Amino acid sequence: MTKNFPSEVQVLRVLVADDDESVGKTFGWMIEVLGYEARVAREGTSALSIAQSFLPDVVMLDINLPGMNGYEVCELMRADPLLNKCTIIAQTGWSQPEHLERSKKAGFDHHWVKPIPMERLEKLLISLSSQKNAA
Amino acid sequence: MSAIGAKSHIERREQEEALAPVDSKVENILLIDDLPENLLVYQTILEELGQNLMIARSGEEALKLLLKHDFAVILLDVNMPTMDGFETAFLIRRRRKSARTPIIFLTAFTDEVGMIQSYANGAVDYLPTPVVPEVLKAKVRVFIELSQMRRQAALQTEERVRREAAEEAARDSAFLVKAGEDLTRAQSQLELLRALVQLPLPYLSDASIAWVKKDEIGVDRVECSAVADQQMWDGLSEINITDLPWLKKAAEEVFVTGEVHYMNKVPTSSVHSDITPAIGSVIILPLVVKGQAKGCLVLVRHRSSTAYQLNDIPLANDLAYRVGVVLENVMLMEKIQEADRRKDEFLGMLAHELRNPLGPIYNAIQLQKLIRPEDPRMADLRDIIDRQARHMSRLIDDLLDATRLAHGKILLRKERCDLNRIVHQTVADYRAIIEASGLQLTMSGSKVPVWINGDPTRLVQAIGNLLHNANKFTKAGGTISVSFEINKKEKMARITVADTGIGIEPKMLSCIFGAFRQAEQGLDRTRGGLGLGLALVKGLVELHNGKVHAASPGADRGAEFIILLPIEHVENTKVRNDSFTPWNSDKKFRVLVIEDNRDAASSAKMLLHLAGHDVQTAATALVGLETARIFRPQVILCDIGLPEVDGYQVVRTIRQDADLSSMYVIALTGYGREIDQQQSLDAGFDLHLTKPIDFISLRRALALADIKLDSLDTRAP
Repeated sequence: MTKNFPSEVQVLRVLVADDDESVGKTFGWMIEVLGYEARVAREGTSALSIAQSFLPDVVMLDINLPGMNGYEVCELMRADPLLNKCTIIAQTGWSQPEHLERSKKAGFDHHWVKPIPMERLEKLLISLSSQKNAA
Repeated sequence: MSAIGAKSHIERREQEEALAPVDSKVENILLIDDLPENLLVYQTILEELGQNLMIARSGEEALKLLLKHDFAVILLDVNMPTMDGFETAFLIRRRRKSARTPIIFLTAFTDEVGMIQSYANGAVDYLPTPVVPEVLKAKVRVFIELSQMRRQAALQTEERVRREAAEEAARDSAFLVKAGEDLTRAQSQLELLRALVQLPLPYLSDASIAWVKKDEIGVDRVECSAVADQQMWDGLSEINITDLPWLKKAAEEVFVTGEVHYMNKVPTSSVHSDITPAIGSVIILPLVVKGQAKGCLVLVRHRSSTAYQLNDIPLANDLAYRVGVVLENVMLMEKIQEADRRKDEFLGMLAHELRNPLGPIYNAIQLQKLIRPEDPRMADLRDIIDRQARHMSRLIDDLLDATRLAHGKILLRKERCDLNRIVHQTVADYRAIIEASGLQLTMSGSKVPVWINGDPTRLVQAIGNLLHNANKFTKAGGTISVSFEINKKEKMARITVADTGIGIEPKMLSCIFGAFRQAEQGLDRTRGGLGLGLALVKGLVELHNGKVHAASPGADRGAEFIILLPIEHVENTKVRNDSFTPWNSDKKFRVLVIEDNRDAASSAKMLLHLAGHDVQTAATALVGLETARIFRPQVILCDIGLPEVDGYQVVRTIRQDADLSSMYVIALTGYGREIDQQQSLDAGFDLHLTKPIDFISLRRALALADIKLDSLDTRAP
């Protein structure tokens, strides 16, 4: 990972945080099936600490996380120089305008309302992956 | 000619008013003399003045006339037989009506003593007789004109008073109209009060305070105040009623009595550090909504202003009445807005709660398409779908039940059932889930059959909801303890579900049984749910004439929920098997499916068969009944819309047949309305299921069948 040979493909790292185990599990598998590296957290504080060592490219955060909610996690990530370039996605059941507004304020790149079609996730990961490898 | 003409017209009129000879009305003149010839002389002399001359021949007669008439002047002969002039004058003066009527004495004795006596008795003038006609005429004319002027002045005063009253009425009504306009713009109680306290300034008061008591928990009241002139009140721009205990007390009385309170003096005895000494007088008006004082308006006048009088009250009252009307509208509007806000919030939360399980279901299905069938993750995915779909259907059931409960539409299928069994069975059914959460579950208390008149499905639901909550709100390592106790004397059963979980804040205890309560936690909610569980428990228990309550020493210190239910009868013997197994265990039934739709019949058969039950099917009612007699199923699933003989007929026949009547018969139909449900229950079905039948509802139905059949066994001798 330290060297950047042109032939080496950099695999996108994705962190999923959701208190519902089945959400984390299925997203994790989905991301792996799509060919990326996944890590799963079940609450806000661990999501942050995992992120600090895992250094993900993409973070999918549930809003109603125990410990620290998704907005707080996102704000802290944005304040962290190692994490502030991440693509951070709110994945949530909340869909009213005030929720979208709040996500934007907290620094989320996207606000995705559950359920999330795999194609949408796939599209985003492909484009981010090509950006990363072109860089 | 327009402008100039108009002006000159006004000028002319003013001149006319100023110069016009005073009212030409005829005045009364009273002539008093005992001698007719004298009277005739006076009449002749005064005739040409054109006034009304009245005659009295004695003092008594004169006094009688004075009772009925007013006179511009009285000519009085001093020398009369029965009552002399002095006495008559004295009596005339004594009467209030004639105390100031001018009297001219007429007498032949022109001595000084007589004159002095005349004046002392009230004369204004004195004429010696025989009179000089010109002198008499001139003197009487003076008094007539005087009287006419006085009359005119009185008329003008009257007119002025009338005009002033009209102007005041117009001002009052303009004030009220403006008040109405200003108030109706208010969109909230606070806005209304803000407008209201400004209104009476300075026309009606020097300062005003208004407040409205709130019904909502938490906010005690909305209060506002304003002053007309800050300098008057030591630079204060507001007067806080809580700083004035005497005023607050008086206002609180108004809330109770609903009557206007008026104080034209305020207490001065006590020592005041406040503005009390500056207050001169006060009117406290109730703001009445639907016959109840919901608020009050306090009008305050400074000590330097005129104190309120009783006649200030009608206008103030009129204002308060109008405010009451507006307040009622505003309260209604706020209520509607609040309900609307709550509804939107609830819908947002409902969507959130339904999307939560939908997410993993969706993910799992997409993954199933991607991974190979033999992949070990497949089983996990199926479990996820199963668990999440169950969660979703629970949410939807709760939602529908809560709605039905709110509209009083839940139908209880009451029967004699064993509460002991229901409690133990429900606990057994939840044991696996609770233990999987890392919690300990204990069950204690009575184990004898306790017969109650209730709906087993709904009782299971109520107890199950408490267990579900306890499980949801208790961290791994905690304990859930259920106890079941009987009070034979009071014929009450008590079911307690206690946990060591997150507990309940004291201020929340009173409202946790309200529907949609959890919704108010907004985004900080991490445990999900619609917040309907406890409302359902309360509603269902109350439908059974029972009670629920909750207790908790506080946050993070656990909670205890208690259901109290009236019971009918307690048996003395313990139940034979005191260990209960969950319903979805291995209990197998003989099940008969009577269904003419071949696909529906075979899918039901397949589902039941997979669960290990012994299943037979019949396509018509007659074949069904015949099969029932030979196969002797414990449970029958019967379609309602069968050809020729319908499902209602089938169940009636079963109920009338001693051999078959104890079978558990479930209606299958496409109609789920309350009325359809009621109709099947009336016909004799034990349960009403709406097609399509899924595995979960089938399993639940068999669990209920188990309870029913078991209680029949227990009852059998």
